[in-house]
Amino acid sequence: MSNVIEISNLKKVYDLPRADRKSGKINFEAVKGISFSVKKGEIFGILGPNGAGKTTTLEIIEGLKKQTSGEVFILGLDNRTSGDEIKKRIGVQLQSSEYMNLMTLSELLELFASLYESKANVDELLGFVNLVNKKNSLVKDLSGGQKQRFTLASGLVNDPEVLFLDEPTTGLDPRARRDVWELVRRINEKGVTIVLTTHYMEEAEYLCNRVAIMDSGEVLAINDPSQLINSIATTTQVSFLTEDVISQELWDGINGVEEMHSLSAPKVILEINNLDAVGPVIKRLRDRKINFSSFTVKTATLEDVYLDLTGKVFEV
Amino acid sequence: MSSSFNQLLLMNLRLVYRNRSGLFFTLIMPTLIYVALSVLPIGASFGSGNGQVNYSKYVLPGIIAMTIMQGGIYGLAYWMIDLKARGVIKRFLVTPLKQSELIISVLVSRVIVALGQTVFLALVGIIFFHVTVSANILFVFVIATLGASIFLLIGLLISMFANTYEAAAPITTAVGLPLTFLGNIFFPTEGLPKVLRYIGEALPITYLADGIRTLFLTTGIPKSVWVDLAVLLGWLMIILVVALRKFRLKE
Repeated sequence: MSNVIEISNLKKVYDLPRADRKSGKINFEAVKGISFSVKKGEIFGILGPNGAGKTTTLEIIEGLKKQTSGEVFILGLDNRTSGDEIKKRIGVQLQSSEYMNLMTLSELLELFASLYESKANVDELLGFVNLVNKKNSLVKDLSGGQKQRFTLASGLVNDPEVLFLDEPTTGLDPRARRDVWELVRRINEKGVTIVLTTHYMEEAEYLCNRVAIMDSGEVLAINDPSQLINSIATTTQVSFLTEDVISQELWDGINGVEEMHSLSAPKVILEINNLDAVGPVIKRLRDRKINFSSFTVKTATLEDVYLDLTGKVFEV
Repeated sequence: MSSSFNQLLLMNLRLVYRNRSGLFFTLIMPTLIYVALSVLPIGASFGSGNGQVNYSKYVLPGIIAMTIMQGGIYGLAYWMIDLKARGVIKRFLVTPLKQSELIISVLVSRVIVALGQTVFLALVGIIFFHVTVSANILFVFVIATLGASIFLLIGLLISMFANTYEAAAPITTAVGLPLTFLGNIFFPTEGLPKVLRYIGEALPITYLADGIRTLFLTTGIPKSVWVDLAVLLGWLMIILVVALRKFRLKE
């Protein structure tokens, strides 16, 4: 079987606490009957803003929550009947990377390994995440990035076939985020299938083979990031600032320039359908001795895809 | 015993002895209270079994009982709430570990701590305040274990109902205050108004303190200790039934 995870019509309804029951509404549908599958060996991302239902979906797969209805198969096992067997074969990094603060890294890894009835290769695991020198440090003495890397190591104690990462880089600085990305890639290269949630567009674009875009409990689209971007009818935008008056005719003869907007002067925006048009556009501006500055080229991102799918600007 | 249970037990004990501010509450504060009550000129003597006993000897078993009680109602409850709030419990629940194994390891480690506190406080009494412990020490451990189990389970239950410190504070106070002042920790309850006395007589801490006190002050195992033991067992059964019904770590 090549699909590691098969989810069909997954639904999760929460009872609202009494205080939040407005106008007779007593429950809240966090996940509204979603379906998707994850292929063996891929990095699969679930992308969406807070409250989209990403964590709920993940926690159902991990066995922390029970679905209201729908089916979840992990490694061919039904989550309603084989929860214990599933737990032995998956690794999990939760959204919070908190541990018992007064334990050392090697103690915690040995403890977690014992929960899987195995022994931890502490040096190898910590070496992998570049924390060998912190082996005997207490968890409370780690920085945010180190904690996150340690969390990855602790998720690997049982040599999982699938690794779940819930917002692995939230709250990290750019450098620490890069480190985590590299680690995720290297884990994946070892053959571990990875499922991650994120609300960072660039994380999904950079890491994921395929991305499911989630919003308000629904999956809106699933595809590889570049396909998703190509699927929307957004062209590349070239923009620059100039005091000179420019008309559409200036671009005559340049292949790929579709449309020009100069409504927000001094900013001029060109829609182009071909990146090769960028060079000729610059050359034309120089040839006509037009003074321009802040020349930028902006291609579509997953943010534009989200905007296209939901009609909303992506906000975390 | 499985190696995971041993590891969990080890973890729980490490967390207790590495926690400096926790050690203050588990050892130093009860010792200070005991020393203060022994040194201050309270001067009262109480009749108890075989005659007159000075206050230092009277209050030591009470302090031990109070310490055991606080370890459950405050110590364990707040510790569990902290772990839940920080998502640490969840981290264990995504492993094959059984919830019951996690909880039992926590309880066993805390009972060990309670017995350690009992020994420590008894030694302070013996060494500095001429307390003589004539009891069968094993029987003291049995009574202390029963008492500790009751209060640890109550602490556990509190952490099931309250998810935050703010929510837990009024509950622990409401439970802890009557246990502290209506049991016979600091003084015999005979002088209290009838209603309060009846309440006191129903509380498990009364029997914990009385059991240890009788064992410390008299030789052999008097009949009243068996009554204490029976009442504590009864309480344990009740709390256990409630705990098993209400117990859940997941949503």
